[in-house]
Amino acid sequence: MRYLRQVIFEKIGKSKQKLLEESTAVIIGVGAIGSISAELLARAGVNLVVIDRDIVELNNLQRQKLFEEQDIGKSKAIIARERLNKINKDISVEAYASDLDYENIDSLAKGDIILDCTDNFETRFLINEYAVKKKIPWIYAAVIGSSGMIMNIVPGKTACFRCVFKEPTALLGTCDTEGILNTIPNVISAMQVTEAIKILTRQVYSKGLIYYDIWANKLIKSKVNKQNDCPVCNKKFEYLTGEKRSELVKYCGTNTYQIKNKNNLEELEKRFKNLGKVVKSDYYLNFDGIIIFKDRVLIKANSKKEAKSIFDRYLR
Amino acid sequence: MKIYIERTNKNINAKAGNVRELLKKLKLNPTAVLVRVNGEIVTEDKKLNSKDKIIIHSVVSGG
Repeated sequence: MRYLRQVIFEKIGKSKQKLLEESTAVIIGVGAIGSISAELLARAGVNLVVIDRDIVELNNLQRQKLFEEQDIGKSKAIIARERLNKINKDISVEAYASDLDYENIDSLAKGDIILDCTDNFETRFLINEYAVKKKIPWIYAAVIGSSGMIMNIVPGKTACFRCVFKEPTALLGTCDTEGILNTIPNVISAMQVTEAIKILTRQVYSKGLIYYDIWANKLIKSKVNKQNDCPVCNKKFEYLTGEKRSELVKYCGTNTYQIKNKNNLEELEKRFKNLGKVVKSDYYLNFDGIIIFKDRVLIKANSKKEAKSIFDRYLR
Repeated sequence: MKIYIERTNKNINAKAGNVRELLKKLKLNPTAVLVRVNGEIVTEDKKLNSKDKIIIHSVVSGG
């Protein structure tokens, strides 16, 4: 039996294993944390929805465990589904090569729990508002350098993300400015999935914020509190309504910029064929390193200004 | 009061009436850090006293 060792474990047993097999977890972002968390949950028997807007790049392979050299240039979400199906054919895996936003979150993030494996705060604030509104538990997880953090957000029971974190007004350290050791996502993912298993099997879960630095071997747990003036707890949803969103974002750990834009791939393919080599897949076009999806464009550039300039040159 | 700054792995001494003043003194952006006082993440209004144990975490965003 596939799950025998897990069922023998005293905290799981047959009844809680059944709960896991009846559950669906939504993994938002299949990068370092997401690829490991997705694999652990697949092996544990949990059905999955994986969402990622990005494509596999060479520098991802150092830490993003579901991907191999042959996957470079392909959609992370689609490749993740292929690998997860090979790991466990008994679970269902839905994959969306999409940029999660206020317009599609309701149709894509359907599950019993959401695992935040993103690399930016805008998406986390969106997930928080959606989860609080729909009363879906979610787990914040993030890594940088040799350290990471996780926090369970269970609407109605714990503080929400906005009770603890403010909207950043400064650039936060990213994987490309501070680097990342490939061991820390494994620990943070393991913590995140363990908390997900506790929540899905209706057991006592950790409260508060957990910080861990694998280089220093230092673990710090902190209590967090609900804030009376928290806009989200007071049902003021700014990200979920689209009031707050940015059209141009830089991906963590790369020099790739994403610009939101509605694109007609057939027309663009014709245009680019006259200019150079175009590689077409089911989901996007690749023209000279510019990746064009139906809803957005990925451009490699050294600055925001340069990314906008390339966009204007080819896609306006 | 004793303060441990996690990102730089440094212990320092500083005086401040509340968290807002402390962050200003240390030139830290309040949206980029979490301040833990005696085991609890607190807001900028939190009053401080000399016996408080303070940890300043940097906000982590990578994934």
